[in-house]
Amino acid sequence: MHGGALGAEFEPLAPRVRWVWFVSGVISDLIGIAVLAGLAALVDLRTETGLAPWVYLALATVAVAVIPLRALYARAAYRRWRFRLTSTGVELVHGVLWRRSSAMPFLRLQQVDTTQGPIERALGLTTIQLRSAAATTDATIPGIAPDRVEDLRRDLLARAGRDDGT
Amino acid sequence: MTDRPQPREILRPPPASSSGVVSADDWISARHLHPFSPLSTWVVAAVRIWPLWLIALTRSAGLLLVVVAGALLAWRFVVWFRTTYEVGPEGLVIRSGVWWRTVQTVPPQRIQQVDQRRGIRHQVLGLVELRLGLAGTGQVNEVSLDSLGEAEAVRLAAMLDRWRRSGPQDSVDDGGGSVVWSPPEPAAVPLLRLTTKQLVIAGLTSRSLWLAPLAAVAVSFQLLSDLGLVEESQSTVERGLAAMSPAAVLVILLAVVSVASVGFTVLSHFNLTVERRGSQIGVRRGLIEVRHATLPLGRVQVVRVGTNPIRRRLGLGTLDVRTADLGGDIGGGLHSASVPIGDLNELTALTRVLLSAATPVDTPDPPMRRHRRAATRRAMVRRTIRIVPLVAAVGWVFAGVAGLALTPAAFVIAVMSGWLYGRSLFTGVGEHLIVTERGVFSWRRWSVPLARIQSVGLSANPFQRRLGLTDLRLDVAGASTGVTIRDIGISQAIEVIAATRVCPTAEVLNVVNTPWWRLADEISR
Repeated sequence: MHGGALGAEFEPLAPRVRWVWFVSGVISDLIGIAVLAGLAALVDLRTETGLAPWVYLALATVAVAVIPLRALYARAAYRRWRFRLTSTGVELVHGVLWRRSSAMPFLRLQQVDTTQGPIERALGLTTIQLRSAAATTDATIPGIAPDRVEDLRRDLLARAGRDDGT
Repeated sequence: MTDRPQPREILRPPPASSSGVVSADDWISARHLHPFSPLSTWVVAAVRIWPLWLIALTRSAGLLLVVVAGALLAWRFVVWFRTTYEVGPEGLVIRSGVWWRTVQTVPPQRIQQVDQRRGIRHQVLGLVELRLGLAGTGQVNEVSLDSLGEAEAVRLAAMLDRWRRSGPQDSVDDGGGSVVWSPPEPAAVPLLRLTTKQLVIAGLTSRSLWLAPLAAVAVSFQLLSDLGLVEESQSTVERGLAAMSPAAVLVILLAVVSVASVGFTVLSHFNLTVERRGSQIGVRRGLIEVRHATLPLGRVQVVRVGTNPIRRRLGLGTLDVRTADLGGDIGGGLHSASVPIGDLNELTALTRVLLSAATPVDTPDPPMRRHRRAATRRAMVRRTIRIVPLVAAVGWVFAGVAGLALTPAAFVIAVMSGWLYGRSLFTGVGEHLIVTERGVFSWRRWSVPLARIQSVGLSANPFQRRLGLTDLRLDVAGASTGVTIRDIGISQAIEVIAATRVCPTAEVLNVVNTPWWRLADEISR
């Protein structure tokens, strides 16, 4: 993989990244549902007639349904995610419904940032963000395993372009 | 003065020390910002939540005030504790974040400008904010170390500046982004000058166009009510409006908006002149506030020429320049210039001059290729879905069943405008330049030099994939968004990517190679 030829193999992410997506997805969904439930309760208390019970039932159903949906989504997203470092640049392919791919030559690479959210930290994963001079460059690789991250970062920094970005 | 430099001294640019290369002795081991930093940033955070203070004061909730302020200060202290910086062989490394930990590595050759600032809070606490302007790094165009001690800031700034200067020169002054102000060029070559008459035309042909369809709707409503198709209105508002014919209201509105538009255009662009001085473009404009912007040609990324049906008839258009602006205040006025009106041919010639740092001036325009027919089909469907239900709903609300009479007309308009839009999509790739254009009522043409493309991206939703279409994004330096070529056929998109030389194996980026209905397979695989 390192310094690979033009046709270097695509790498998958660390499989644990599915848990990151699943847990963060479920948490954000449940927060959204909790806010809606809170609003419903408020309406219930403040109005004379109150709300029909099916409103709560619907919210509970959605809350239960997001769990398998998020699991399926995480699974599909993981299967779709791949990246590779060729001799000239980085290529990423990902996305489930909205398919995305992007390429950035090392010549344009300006900065390499690593980030760890709380869930990622618990699972020992890291997100690597490659930055070019363009704000719109899509080059964030989530879910890098700990044994790969330092190698990858050094490798990328060593290849970072010497041009000034314009 | 011994250790503590005078404020004036601090605001001076770091001394251009000639003592050469930065050695390992200069490296700084990981350390925290100044201990007063939590207090300094606490002030900013506290000011930001001023509505809370207001509420606490009016409700005389003193305890709440103390608790929130204390919690905030404690949090700033934790943030301070988690933030360290160091200077090592890789450059400046900043580690920060409490929940989300971030390591920022700034190689010295990326540093374009080292700026020291002192706001009021800094002055009171004897601190300095060090800001590093990075070479056109889009989102992260500056890195800030807020609240350093004065001596430390001066030392760090001088060191980073020295390191930047002593770095490999080819990385800094290739005529591109480095903000090196060369001595004044001998002669200015005028490129464009706008007369007041042209500015008036610009004002008259811009916003007023948007109101024309509204006026048409109003007139048609009046016709409907004259024919007795709309029931007599009963509400006071409607009765008030009925006193004056709606068409008259709209004509007056149109006049007011036009005058305002003309006034604004003339005031802000009065006597606009564009001239070239060597490798820089100077733009001067304005009546009350005269602005003068200097734009190094090396920073021009994309040029956009646009027009609308009325202006096209008059042979006129507008021009916008997108530069690798650093954003924030550090850029020093390198903001994008625009020409609000001009002869389309003149603007095309100006485009060539503006792009001359990246493409030879005599480059022929690339042959333009219309996008696939599927793109037209998609545009027709999308416009129908967007326009028809909206018109039906508005008609229903305002005129009941009679209002639905407008739906067939809306359908015809939606399909026709979709067809025109789909037929307006063109993209061409030349040896040095990608040109893409689209739009009917607002037609625009983007010219992107291949040498300016930072990275590329494809994206396709399930509908696009079904039609073999994709959106192709060309990222260029700067904080603004890149150029997106919408609904281009996948094979044409891959040809374009191959031409950019960003990705030699463009085919692997194909996002529509998996059929959309195979999603289920992929999940269960």
